[in-house]
Amino acid sequence: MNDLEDYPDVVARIRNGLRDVSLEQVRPEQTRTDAPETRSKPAGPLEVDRLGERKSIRGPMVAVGAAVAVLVSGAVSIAFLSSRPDHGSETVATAPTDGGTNTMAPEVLIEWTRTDLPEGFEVHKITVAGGQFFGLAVDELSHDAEGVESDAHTRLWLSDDGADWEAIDVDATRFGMRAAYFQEIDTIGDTLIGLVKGQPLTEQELDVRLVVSEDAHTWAPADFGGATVIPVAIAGGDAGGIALALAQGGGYDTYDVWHSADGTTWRLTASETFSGVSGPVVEIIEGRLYVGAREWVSSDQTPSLWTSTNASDWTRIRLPSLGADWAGWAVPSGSPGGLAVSTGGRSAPEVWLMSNDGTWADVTPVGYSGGTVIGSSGGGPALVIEPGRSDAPEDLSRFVPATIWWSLDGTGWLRLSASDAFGSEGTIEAAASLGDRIVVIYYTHPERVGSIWIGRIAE
Amino acid sequence: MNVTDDGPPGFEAFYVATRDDCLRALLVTVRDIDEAADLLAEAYARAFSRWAMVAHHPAPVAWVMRTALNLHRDRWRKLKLLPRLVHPAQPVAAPELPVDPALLDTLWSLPKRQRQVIGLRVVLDLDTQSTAEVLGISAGTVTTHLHRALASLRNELATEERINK
Repeated sequence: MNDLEDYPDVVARIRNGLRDVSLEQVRPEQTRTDAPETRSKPAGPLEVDRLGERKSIRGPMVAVGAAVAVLVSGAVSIAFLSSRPDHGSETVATAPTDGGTNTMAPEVLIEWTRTDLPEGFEVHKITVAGGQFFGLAVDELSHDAEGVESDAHTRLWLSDDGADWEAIDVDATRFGMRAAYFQEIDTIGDTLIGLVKGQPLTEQELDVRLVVSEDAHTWAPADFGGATVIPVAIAGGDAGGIALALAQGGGYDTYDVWHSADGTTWRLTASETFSGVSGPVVEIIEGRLYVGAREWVSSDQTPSLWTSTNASDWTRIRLPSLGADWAGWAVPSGSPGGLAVSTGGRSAPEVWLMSNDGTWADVTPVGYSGGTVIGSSGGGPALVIEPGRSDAPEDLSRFVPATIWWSLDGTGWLRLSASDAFGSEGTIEAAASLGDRIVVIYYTHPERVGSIWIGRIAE
Repeated sequence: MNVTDDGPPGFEAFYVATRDDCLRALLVTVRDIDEAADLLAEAYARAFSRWAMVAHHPAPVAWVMRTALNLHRDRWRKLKLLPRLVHPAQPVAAPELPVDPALLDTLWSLPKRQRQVIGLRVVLDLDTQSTAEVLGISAGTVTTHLHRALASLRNELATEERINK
C-alpha cells in the first residue's frame, strides 16, 4: 500500500503549511501552564475556566481500538509448499515458514487460486453469513460542500465460493437513509441482519441502524418497539440474536443488550449492563451468548468477557493474565463447545484459547507480532492477519510484508508469508474463512494491483 | 484553561507537547479554528480528569482526538435540532491564520472522512491502525481514504501552482 511514502511532496506541503498554527495564537489563555498556589489534586470533576465560563466536566470515557474476532474449528495438520505465481488466474501451493511452539507440522498442502477483482469491487470487509461470503462495500460517506452526506455505496457483494461475486445495490431509502454502508452482517435462522451506518433521510448527522432482509436485496429497519437504538455490534444464531447498543441513558461506554428471536422484532433484555467498556464484540457459540470488550480497570484497559444463556443474566468469565499492553479482544465461533481466543499486546502479542471447561492455554504462535484476527461463522479456519504496511507504526521507513496465520483448531498455527504465497509484496485488505477455504483480498505494493486469492487445503 | 502540575503526573508535558499538533489536525477536520480550539479544550479537560487512565492508553493523543471528534459529532447531533438556525459544515474563513489560504482551501474541500484521515495520519502522524481506531473504521479504509485524499491534493495543488505561475 502506498500510504504516505508515495506522496512526500504533498505530505511535506501539508505539514510545512500548517506548522505555524498554534494554540497560543488563537487561544493564549488556553496555553497557560503557570502553577497556582495550591498543588492538591482536584477532588471532584475538573473545573475548567474557559472564556469566562466556569464549567464542570464529567466527560464520558472514550477509548480507541477495534475489537477483533477469530474462529477456530476442527483439527487438521497442514503445511505449505513453495510458490511463485504470476499474474492471471492460477493455482499454486505455498510453503511453510519455520515452525516452533504452537506451529503445525508440515503434512498437508494449501492451494491458492487467483482471480481478478470484479469491476468496482472495493470492500472494507469480507464476512460470512448464511453460508455465503459477503463483501461489504467501502464506506464512502462524506460531507459535501452543503454539509450533506453522500457517495456511500450501499452495496453488497455475494459469493458462494469467493471467486464469483454478485453485486447487489441496496436501496437505503427503504430503511430511511439516503446514503449508507454495511458495517456487519449476520443471520438469525434464515433471516439476514445487518448493521448499517449512514445519513438518515431527514437528518444531517450519521446514524447506525439495524436492518433485516430475507434475500440480501431488500432491507427493512428492525423493530425496537419505538425506541431510538444505536447498535454497535450484532451476532446471530439459529435460535436468536443479540445486539449491543449504546445505553439509552447516553455515554460512549455503556451498553444495553437487545435480543431477537426472528431478527425483525427486538426487546431490551439488559439495560446498562456493560459500563466502562470500549470496542465491544458479541458472538453466539453453540447457543451461548458472549460479549467481549476492553474494560477500564483502575488505570489500565483490560480484556473482559461475559457470557449468558438468555441475554438477560450475564456472568463474567475469568480470564488469564493478558498483560496491560493489550491490543484486541476476540470471541470466536464455529467450534464445538464454548471457545474463545484473544490476542494481547502490541508489544507482546498473544493468542489465548479457552477450552470448554473454562481453562485457558497460551497458544501464541512463534514469531507472531500481532494483527487483525479474523473469523467466520462458516466453520472455516481461524485467520490472524498481519495486513502489511498499513499496520506498521514505522511505515514511513520500511515496508512490513503481510502475513497470514492459519489455524484449524486454535492450538496449531501456520505462518504464511503473503509475498511467498502471492508472488509479490503487498497488503491484505480483507479476508474471511468459510468451510475449507479462505478468501484474501490482496493489493500489491507499490503498484496497488488488487486480486482475490482463494486458499484451500489440497486433496 | 490552567493546566498545571497539580494534576496527575505527566499531563502537563503531554498537553504542551501535543496541543498544537492536535489543533492543526482538528483544524483540517472541522474547518473552523475556534471550533477546533473549543473541542480541544474540552477533550484535554476530559483527558485531565481521567489522566490516571488515559496516561496508560497506548496512544493518549489518539484518545484526545477521538474525544474531540466525538464531541464534534455530538454538537452536530444537537445542532440538527435547530436546522433552520444553523447551516452545517460550511468552512469558516480564517484569514488571520498563518497558513497558505490555498492549501487550507484545498484541504477543506476534501470530503469529511478524507479530512479526518489527513488530520490524523499526516498532520498528527498517527499510524494507520491508530487512525482506524480513532475513526472506528478499518485500516484498509484509512489507507483508501488517505490514498484518495493525497492524490486529490496533489492534483489540486499542482493545478493551483500552474495557475499562479
